[in-house]
Amino acid sequence: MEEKKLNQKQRMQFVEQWANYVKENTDWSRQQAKLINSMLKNSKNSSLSKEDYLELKEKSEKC
Amino acid sequence: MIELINENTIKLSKEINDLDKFVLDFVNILKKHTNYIIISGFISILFGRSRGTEDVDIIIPKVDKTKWIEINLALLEKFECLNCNDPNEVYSYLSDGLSVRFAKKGEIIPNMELKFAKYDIDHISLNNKIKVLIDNNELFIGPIELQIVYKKKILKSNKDLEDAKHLEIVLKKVISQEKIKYYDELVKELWKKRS
Repeated sequence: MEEKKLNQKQRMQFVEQWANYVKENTDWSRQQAKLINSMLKNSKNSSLSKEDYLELKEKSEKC
Repeated sequence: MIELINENTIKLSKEINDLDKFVLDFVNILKKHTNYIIISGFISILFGRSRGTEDVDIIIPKVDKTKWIEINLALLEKFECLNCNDPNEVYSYLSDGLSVRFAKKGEIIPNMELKFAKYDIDHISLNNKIKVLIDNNELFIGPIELQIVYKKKILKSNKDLEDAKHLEIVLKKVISQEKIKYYDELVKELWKKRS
């Protein structure tokens, strides 16, 4: 439980640090584009069918 | 760079990523046929959050079946509905208050999760939409203050709290504290009514 709280705190600290970087720098979107483009590229390797994907989404929304 | 042009317009300078392109492709078709707003996680991502998403939430006003078929057919130029191919059936889903997902043909991720405006909060968001200008592109999002309040007070997951914090810092000069207070009261009231 303590570890979970610490992890959340560290995540939030990173969010604040990155948000301040975005506010003060102009190259943030180049870095963001690298991250997002590679995530989307990887997602194209997924072998999930439409039906599997929708079933997964439905289950995760119920949780 | 993020600049407030007027109360309802924000200018954003950024390198457009593949998720932005996907969203712009979708709304550029949709806007010819109906009003819309993008809500939730994509707003934080648009303004720089360091995360991706597989789905982007979009709300349109409830339309009749004929209008929906016109919209659906226009979207089919570039997109396909993951839920079903028949626009009549898609309309039944939407009319039942469910959302449907559209992705580029032959793909699954990313996708647009589209639903009809249903709750008061959806209508308020549509009526107070914000235009975001990115180079020569534009898209409409729900009011930022309402997004922040909703994420902090209603959704409250770690991801939502992080998204809200990001928006609070990055858009500090744009956010109206008056509107935050207003939406805070409104959301409390509407949520009570809904539950």
